[in-house]
Amino acid sequence: MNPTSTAQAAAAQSAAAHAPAAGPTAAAQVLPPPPLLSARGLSRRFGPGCDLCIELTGDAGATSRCPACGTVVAVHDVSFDVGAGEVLGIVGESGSGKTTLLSLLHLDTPADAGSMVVDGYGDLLRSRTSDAELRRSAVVMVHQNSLAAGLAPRLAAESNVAERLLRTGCRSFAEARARSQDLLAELGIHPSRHTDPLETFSGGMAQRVQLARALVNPPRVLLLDEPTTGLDPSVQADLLESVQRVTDRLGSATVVVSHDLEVIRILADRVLVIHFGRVVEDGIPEQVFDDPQHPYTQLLVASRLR
Amino acid sequence: MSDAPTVASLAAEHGQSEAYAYLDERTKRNVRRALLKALAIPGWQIPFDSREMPVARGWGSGGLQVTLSLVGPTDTVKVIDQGDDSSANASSMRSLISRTSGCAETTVTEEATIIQSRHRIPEIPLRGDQVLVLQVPHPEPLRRVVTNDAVALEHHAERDYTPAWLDLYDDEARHGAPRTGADYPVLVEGTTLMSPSPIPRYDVLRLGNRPHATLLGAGRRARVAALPPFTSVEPLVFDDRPLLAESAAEPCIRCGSIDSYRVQSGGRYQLAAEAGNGPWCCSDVDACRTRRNDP
Amino acid sequence: MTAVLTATGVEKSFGPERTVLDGIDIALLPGQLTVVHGARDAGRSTLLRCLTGGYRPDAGHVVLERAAGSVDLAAADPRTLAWVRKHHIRDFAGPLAAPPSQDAASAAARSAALERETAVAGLRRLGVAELAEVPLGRLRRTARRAVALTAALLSQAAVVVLDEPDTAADPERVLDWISELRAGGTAVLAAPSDAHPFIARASASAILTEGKIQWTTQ
Repeated sequence: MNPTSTAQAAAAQSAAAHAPAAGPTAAAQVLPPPPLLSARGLSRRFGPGCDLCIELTGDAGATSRCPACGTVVAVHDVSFDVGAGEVLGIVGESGSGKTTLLSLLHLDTPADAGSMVVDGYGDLLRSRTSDAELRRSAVVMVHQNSLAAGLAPRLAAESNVAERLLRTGCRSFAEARARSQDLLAELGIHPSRHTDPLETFSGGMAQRVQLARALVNPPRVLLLDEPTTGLDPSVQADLLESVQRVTDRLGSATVVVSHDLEVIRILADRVLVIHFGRVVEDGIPEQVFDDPQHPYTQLLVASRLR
Repeated sequence: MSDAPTVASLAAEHGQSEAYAYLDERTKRNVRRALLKALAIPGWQIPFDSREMPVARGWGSGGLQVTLSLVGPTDTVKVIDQGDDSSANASSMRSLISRTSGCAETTVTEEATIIQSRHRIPEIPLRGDQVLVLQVPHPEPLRRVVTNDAVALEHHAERDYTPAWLDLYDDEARHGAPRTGADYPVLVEGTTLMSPSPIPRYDVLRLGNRPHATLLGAGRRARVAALPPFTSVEPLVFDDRPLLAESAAEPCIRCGSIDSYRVQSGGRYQLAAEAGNGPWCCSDVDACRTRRNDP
Repeated sequence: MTAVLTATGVEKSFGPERTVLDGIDIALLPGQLTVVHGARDAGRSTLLRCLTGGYRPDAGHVVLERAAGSVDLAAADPRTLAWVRKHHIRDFAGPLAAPPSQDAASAAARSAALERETAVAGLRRLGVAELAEVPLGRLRRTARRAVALTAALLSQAAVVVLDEPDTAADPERVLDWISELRAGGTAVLAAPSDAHPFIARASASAILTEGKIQWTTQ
């Protein structure tokens, strides 16, 4: 390791200058910090349920619907951890249960079993604070359909962003306005559109408004539901950049659901593959997409258009 | 005072154990209890058993029930409609009240003990021994932004008025100013949102910190609300966008006042000053007369 | 000197007929360049991926040893793997997974968790400065690989693993940069396409053949 020339010595010096500071920092740890979001055993079924439901559904039965009692086991025993600033991708086709899983995470649907612990809030599924308040502060979802996200279509785009500020007590119009417009501009929405009603925005633009809203009061958990589905390809790429910017800034635990493997590969640090409501594969994108172990994952990967 | 009739003596005279001033005893108790609750929670809408009144719903049946539950034979009642004592509705209601209760009537603000009003607050300063009763067609301040009553109640319960703030923000952003003219929502004691009834902005700015009680009756929606004396009432506005009173182009043609609330004559039931094309006059007739007699 | 990454008994098969790695032992030391070469389909990429956590080995251990502790990548949960691959082990195995509208410098900067200017300087260093402003989607595959290689070399990881870096950029520039990384204490593992220039500068080199490692220089 002895430098043999002055050039190498200089190089070593500049390398040392760029090297992380001596002493233990977070990045120097070999293990990740405790997760921000910790889900264990999430389960949800629709129907009366019977003793055979779990046995007869899933891979074994190749169905989500119990042949004995007709109950649909939408989600069964899903567990995962997501740390601050990390992105978990969830891949599954229609009917896989990924939509129900998102509903559970967004507290729209009650879980039959399981826990969802968010740092600083405890188990959201058992919390006594009213759901609406929790949803506002802890978990924010960016919907495919902006109306479902609780946006007001007749109000201006900037009003929809300002709502977050008003909700937390901002009483200065100038301040609320400045922040809303700044955030919209950051997400690439031109000032000339800020006062246009949200219903005049295209799908991709409306999603950006949702992202801008999320930036106002950074939630602990950010959920993205099929962010690029239905958008034109050029718009998709831009939106992905916006999503990355937002996730980088927020430091939230982000969960992205998509059936588009490329979107997941771009956005996610880790991937869960959901099939018949169960997790069939859990790994980093390289593993899941390049070396899939489960037959269903292999099928998904093989089916990509290239 | 021994000559003055009492409720009991009047009732006894007529061989009635109940029913004074048109309302039956049970209704009066119901309204009075509701009013007590309303005074205990300033600005909060309290439901009551609204009765059929000889006034169409939406035309003051609530205010009338409030007045009729309070009035006694020693009271003097004034009724105004947009500041005018002589409108058909105001006159009719005043007659009904005085005939059924045996109280005195007046058009002179200073003489009244109870003043029932639609769309205005008298400009003559009221005293602590007077009571102001306002007629309210739509008591729910959130009605334009929250369509569902149950949801509106939740918002009130949590004192979460974000929908109202949002609507205000949108108006300011897209139109430069709030669109609400009359019935501008107010925050009572800084916490509870209330509809002050369709009084002009000029009067909204005068609602707070009065020496007397202000009672608001909504008959069609069967609710009352109340402002005890010296209650803080502020319009719902951003800190940097204060509410401005309406302005009139000219002084009153009768008394010459430049700071009264003036309307252009020729538009009888208009609150906004741009209706009608006639000369500008004070809307509060008695105040205008007072100024003329005592400049 | 303690090895920073030690692989023992690593096995990997794709299906019952295709055993690619049949018990591999490798240790990477700080400041050293280890070169693995061999025939085209010998499985060098597979080996590199098993060593960086990109593939999960069927058997064996891949232990990362740092001051703060040690982790066996072969047995680690995915979250730990993602963390290690972000902070301790960096690999170059193909183009970056990034939005096609993102320009090369921004994509490299984000991947390496550095400022954009640093990424621009890095691209210049590899002789591909002209790529900096171009959206990734417009670049041909070789150019996109150059961007990914830049990101891997810029990162300040303790272990840098490079799969065919000489087909992504000028080998001399790559070797130059590797020297600097070594001087800073980084352990570098490379599987070049043309092994000779790399073997000349390597601390150790090995051939991967028939699923096994044979050290040629050490």
